[in-house]
Amino acid sequence: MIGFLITFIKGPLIWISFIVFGGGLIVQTFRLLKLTQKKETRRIVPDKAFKPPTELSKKERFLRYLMSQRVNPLALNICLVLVSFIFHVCLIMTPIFVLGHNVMLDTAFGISFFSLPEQVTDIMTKFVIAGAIIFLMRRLLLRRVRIISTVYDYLLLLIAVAPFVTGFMVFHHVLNYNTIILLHVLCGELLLMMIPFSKFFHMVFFFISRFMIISEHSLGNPKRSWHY
Amino acid sequence: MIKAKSKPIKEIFNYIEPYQDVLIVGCGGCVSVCLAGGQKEVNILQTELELLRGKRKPADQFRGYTVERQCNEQYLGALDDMVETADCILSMACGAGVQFLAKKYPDKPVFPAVNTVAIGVDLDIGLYEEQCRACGECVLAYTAGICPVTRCAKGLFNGPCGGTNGEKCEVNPDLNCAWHEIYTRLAAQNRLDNILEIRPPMQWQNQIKRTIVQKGYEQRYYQEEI
Amino acid sequence: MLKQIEINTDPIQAILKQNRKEIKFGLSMCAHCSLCAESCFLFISNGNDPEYMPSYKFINSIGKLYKKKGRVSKQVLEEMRDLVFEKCVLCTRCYCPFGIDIPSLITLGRDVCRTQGLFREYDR
Repeated sequence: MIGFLITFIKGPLIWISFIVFGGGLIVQTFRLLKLTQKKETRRIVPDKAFKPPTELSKKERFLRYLMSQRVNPLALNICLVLVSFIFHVCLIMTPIFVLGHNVMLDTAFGISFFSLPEQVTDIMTKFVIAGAIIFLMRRLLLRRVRIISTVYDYLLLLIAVAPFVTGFMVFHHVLNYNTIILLHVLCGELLLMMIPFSKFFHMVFFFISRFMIISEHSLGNPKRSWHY
Repeated sequence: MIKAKSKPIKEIFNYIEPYQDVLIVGCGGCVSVCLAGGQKEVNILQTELELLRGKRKPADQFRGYTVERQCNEQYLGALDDMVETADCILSMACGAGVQFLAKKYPDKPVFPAVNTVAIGVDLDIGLYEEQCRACGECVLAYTAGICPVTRCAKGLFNGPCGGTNGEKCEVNPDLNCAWHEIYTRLAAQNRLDNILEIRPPMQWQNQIKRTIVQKGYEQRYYQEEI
Repeated sequence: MLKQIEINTDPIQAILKQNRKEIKFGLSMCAHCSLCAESCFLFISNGNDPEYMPSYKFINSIGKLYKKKGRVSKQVLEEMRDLVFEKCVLCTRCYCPFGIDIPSLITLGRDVCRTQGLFREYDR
């Protein structure tokens, strides 16, 4: 029985999780896009009084850029933005470019991504774990985060970081290698399958709502709006 | 609601040049909704002024604070201590808010940071259109909900004038004739008798409908290349 | 004896049903990260009181109603009124890193309160 479970987790469940992940992403993205509609930008004739600025200095250009992006320089929490950015980049990049995964891809299909040196992915994994610890600390210590936190939030953080903790343990041969690698595979599969159907869907939602939908805080040149 | 547009930064800078400690007061009401004087704009203005002033006067200080509404004394209490130590006040509220602050703190200079433009509607984010000039004599009942004071370049109460050019206004060929629209809509509602009566005129300057494009949104909304 | 005023759940459930998708996406995407806090001037001017945080306001108004399917007591609804009318001026300037339309969710909370005769009383 246990033997069957192990082969199932290491074999078919990987496929199932990738299919659920891919299919779920497509379905959920489609459902989200159905909540939006194309919106034409209204074009108007400039006021006669409007004079385009001539010969801007570097400082003025920078100020204009700040204004056009409507960046709020004082309220921006630079540290948190940086931590969050590093956390997310490492979270996405590490599993794709880690050598171990690519070796498996290579033996199975003869194709693989470009691999990063193992020292680099090791550091990236440490960044992810450190980021998760910072997020956990914020959730525990800051009243404004605690007041809206639920058990589910802690659980999600655990699920997101579990593959990295176990991966780190596998790489450094902490505890029983075979047990941990099984746990690592299982955590990874769970995370993959949860992404389209949980708060992790912000992986797609972020890009759609910030880059495609017109709002005060939208980025780039969006062309759609919500219609509920 | 009330729509306002940020003043050029140079103009604001000139007002506050002689003062050391500047208190920038935002308003969470109308000017916040039209992206002209909310907390975010207070922060942006503060940064802009700090950058402009540079290292010439390092002792200078800018502080920002946003109140719920500057047109109601109830919300101004928190300002008292800050005003005490400030050399001048830069108000990002509408004309009403600026005057209210100036009245409440008569010994401090109060400067406006926005131009209050109109009572208008939101067409899009950062794009607003004047609808009402607050004339105090609303005639919308018999003009099919189209304001002749705001929309007609001559503010006529008995239109259209002889200058109407088909559907367009003689003042500006890009402008629709308000009275043509009033006539069309009333005719469709079978209410043309509403404008048969001669109405007494109001003394208004000739003004055309103004549109407010918030700073930073010109590229998006202007047809012509800037 | 105080007369217990009953809550009419029909209009509440109608609002919840009509805006189900929006509320659901808003609630399920909110990562409870609290990055919206500083974008609220009321949060800043009330000494960083977390009850003024935009996410707190929509989670505890329309979010609560959604989870309880509109079946709440008058007292709970009155607390909601204080949250969406007294602690929010609907300046529509909330920032959400994921782009959740928080103001429209708070507006729905206000709509629900209005159906029960609860709104901001300026002459109070």
